[in-house]
Amino acid sequence: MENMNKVFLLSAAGTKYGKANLTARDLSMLASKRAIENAGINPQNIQAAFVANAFGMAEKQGHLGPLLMSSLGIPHVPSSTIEAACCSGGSAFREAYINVASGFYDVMLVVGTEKISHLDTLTATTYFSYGGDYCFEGNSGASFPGLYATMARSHMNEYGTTEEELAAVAVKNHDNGVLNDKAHLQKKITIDEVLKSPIVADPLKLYDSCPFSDGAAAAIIASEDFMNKNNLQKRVSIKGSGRSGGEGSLHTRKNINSLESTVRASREALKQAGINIKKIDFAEVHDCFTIAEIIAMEDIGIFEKGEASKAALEGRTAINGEIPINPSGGLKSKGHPVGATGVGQIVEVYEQLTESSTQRQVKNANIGLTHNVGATGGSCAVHIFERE
Amino acid sequence: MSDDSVFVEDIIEATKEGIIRAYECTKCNNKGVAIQAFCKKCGNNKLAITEINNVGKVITYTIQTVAPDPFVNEVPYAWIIVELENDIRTTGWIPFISSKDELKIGQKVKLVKSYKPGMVFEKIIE
Repeated sequence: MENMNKVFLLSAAGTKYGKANLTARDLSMLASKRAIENAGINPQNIQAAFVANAFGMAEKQGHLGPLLMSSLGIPHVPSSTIEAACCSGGSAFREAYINVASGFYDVMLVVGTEKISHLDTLTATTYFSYGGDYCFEGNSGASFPGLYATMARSHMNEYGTTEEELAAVAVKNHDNGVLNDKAHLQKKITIDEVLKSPIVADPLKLYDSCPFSDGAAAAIIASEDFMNKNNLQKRVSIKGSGRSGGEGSLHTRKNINSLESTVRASREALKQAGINIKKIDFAEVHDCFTIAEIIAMEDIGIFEKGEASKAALEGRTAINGEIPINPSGGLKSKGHPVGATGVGQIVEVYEQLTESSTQRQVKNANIGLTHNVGATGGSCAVHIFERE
Repeated sequence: MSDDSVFVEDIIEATKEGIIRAYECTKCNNKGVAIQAFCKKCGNNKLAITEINNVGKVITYTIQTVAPDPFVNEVPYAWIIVELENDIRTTGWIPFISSKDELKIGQKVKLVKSYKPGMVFEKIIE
């Protein structure tokens, strides 16, 4: 990793998350167009692209990359789809980063896209279960929320975490989402409403869970050489990149209330960045369920194991708290268009570090972290960004 | 199947008979209920298939009230992670459990024969 070149996040832009009338292909085109325009470059400058997408077949459309490149007027540009369940976006960004940091390419486009709202709840629930170990999980009765519910019960049993503490995570993220005009669920909720919402997989309720969202997000990254030659303003750089796999099944891992892949990926990113976790000003973490945000904060090292449960309830992770977590609203309120999610987190960090987050702007935001997880931790990508 | 590995079908066909199959490393004897080509402990490429005791205890669980496709008509039920002999774990489900209070962490359970998908367990009442 010592020989990596410095890489800049030239621009990042996303569509509104929620129920879209557009296809995943349309959404990827829209997000890419915005990112290219914001970057102040010509599409012809893009040398390669990665498309993050998990459920393309649900729309009878695979091989999205060449279609998108053709729509952008650059059909010759090589592209591939990267699928790592809910971590597709973070994984695609990581691969693009390696390509530019190693000097192979100077400019790359990363776009994540998903369209899932046209599926009924049963079909969507079934598709999500395919991200785990189908032999031992989906085909043995576990829904995707069911997997996180068993992690939640394990955490509650070991650390005394309460359902009220889980609910406080949802309330906090909805408070943030209300301030984000691109969020799927722009609605304030109360702890009581979370606790009284229908049980999906005990102890997780409907309001502990992220929604099924459509949406897309795109980022353009570039080498220092390209930035200098084209007199482009350096606003945000990539300071650290971490990536790890983890046991694909819950039952084969030693600890059910921790994600080893998050521990490894975050340590790798922090090591490359050369900083302590205390230097992070805010983070976008993978809160597909409320328990996931708590476990993520502990595994990344923002809080000690067993100490993160009370953070949201005590206001420590609010936008004006000591360490703002998910100022965008997170997956819980901003939404979770699977393939787009990891890139969408980077859009939030870009906006925060360029002081364009309006009402949800984190004060003195200089270093931001993104944390993206596939299924129950089979994949994890962590990136650290710094304002130039 | 063989090829010194454990495949999905090896697990599924035994489950229907109430049998839990695991891989066993022919070098270090490490065991696990998993689809496996190399030993997780020593990396050996020669794995045998072995049967392990089908009685264990629940280490965590959920009550599924919304289920994926093959289980739509089974709700509510408990989805469980079970610890078997020598800390080996597997997953499964217990039909007709509708509340978290009907199950406890530490509950002894046994795999039963079933034509239904997955590993169907029942509580052992002592």
